[in-house]
Amino acid sequence: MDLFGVSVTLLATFTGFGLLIGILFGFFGMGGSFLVTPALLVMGYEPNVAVGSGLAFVFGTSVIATLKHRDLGQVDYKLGVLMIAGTTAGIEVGKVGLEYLQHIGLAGSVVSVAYVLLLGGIGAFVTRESLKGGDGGGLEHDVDEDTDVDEDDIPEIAQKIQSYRIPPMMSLRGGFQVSLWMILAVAFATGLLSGFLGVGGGFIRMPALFYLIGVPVPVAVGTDLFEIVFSGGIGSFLYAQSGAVDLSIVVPLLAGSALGARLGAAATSLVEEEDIKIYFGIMLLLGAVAVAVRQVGGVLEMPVLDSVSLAIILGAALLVSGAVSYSAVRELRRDAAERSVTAEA
Amino acid sequence: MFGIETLGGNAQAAVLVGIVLVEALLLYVGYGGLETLLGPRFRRVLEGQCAVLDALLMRCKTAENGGVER
Repeated sequence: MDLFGVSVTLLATFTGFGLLIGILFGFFGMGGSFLVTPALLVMGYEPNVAVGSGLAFVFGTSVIATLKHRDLGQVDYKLGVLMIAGTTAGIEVGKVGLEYLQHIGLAGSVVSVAYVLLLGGIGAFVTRESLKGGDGGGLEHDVDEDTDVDEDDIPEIAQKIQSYRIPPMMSLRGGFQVSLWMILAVAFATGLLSGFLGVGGGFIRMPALFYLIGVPVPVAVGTDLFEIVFSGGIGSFLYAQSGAVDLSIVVPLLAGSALGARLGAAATSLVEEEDIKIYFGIMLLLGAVAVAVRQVGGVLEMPVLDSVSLAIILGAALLVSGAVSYSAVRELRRDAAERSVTAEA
Repeated sequence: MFGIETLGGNAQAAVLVGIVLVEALLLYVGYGGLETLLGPRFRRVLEGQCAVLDALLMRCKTAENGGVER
């Protein structure tokens, strides 16, 4: 059975996958395209379609998330505009690089290897921070964004970058100053990855804003989402020009993720995030393993490894979103039971 | 999909991005409305305070104190 010329089964699959990704996005404040593009690659889509459709999905998701964050005042518009300028240049260079690699037939391999390194590296970092039990994971939700940043709360690398006082200096929310050139350099680097890998950049840029520039976490999340609206929009427009955005992928994914994002966002007020961080790190590591397995399958000409890879990606998303949902329901029931006991007393 | 393949280059790209933007806005408004309408009942079901069938038939109180949410 078809709808708009697309198999209903495929539409349902993408909607369900979008729901899983949306829960993760709503909970962790990250785009989820790091799961979408590898999944599309594993499903056999051309690299430019996987990247272009991933960017369009990120664009739609970030519009919804930014609308939610708008009223919380967690956006530094000046920083956002500077990030947009640097990111736009980075995306353009990244796209040219990807097209060149496609021309010489290496795009699939290079994008996959870059994903393995990026997902694996960030996954290992988040997992290590979780196991340490510290607060350095950069994923906290409940921080007062109106308070000036305490010097001790600024990561060492950010303090180093803030010490390079190359004019002009920019004053940012949180009461500190950073060189314009440092902001543009970080923006360009994240834009390069965004255009090259087809990610909105949330899982790279939000930690980069916190760890490299020293922006408070809530402002980093809000500003990042504001910026992703533009970078995702520009990126998807550039890919759409060459017909690399497939609406039969993007429309159902977005329908699922918009609902999932609401559920994930609601879960943030219920679940202790420290309990979940380690699952997030493991999910990223499993994503890296999945892409690596697919790559090995390509080299050894074993198509069965493609299916194994897809199963790992879907399993990782299912595992973590399931853990988030289970923890949220458990907390809800515990609260309800406590209220009943209080009422009876 | 949606017959926009006949458009070329920039026009097709603009329509594609526009469709994604409009879908995002519609989903934001639509799911927001559903959350307002069904959210309290859904919460009671998850809390184990109301059966799914009762929630569907609108036979659940939305909160223990007679309807005032926490």
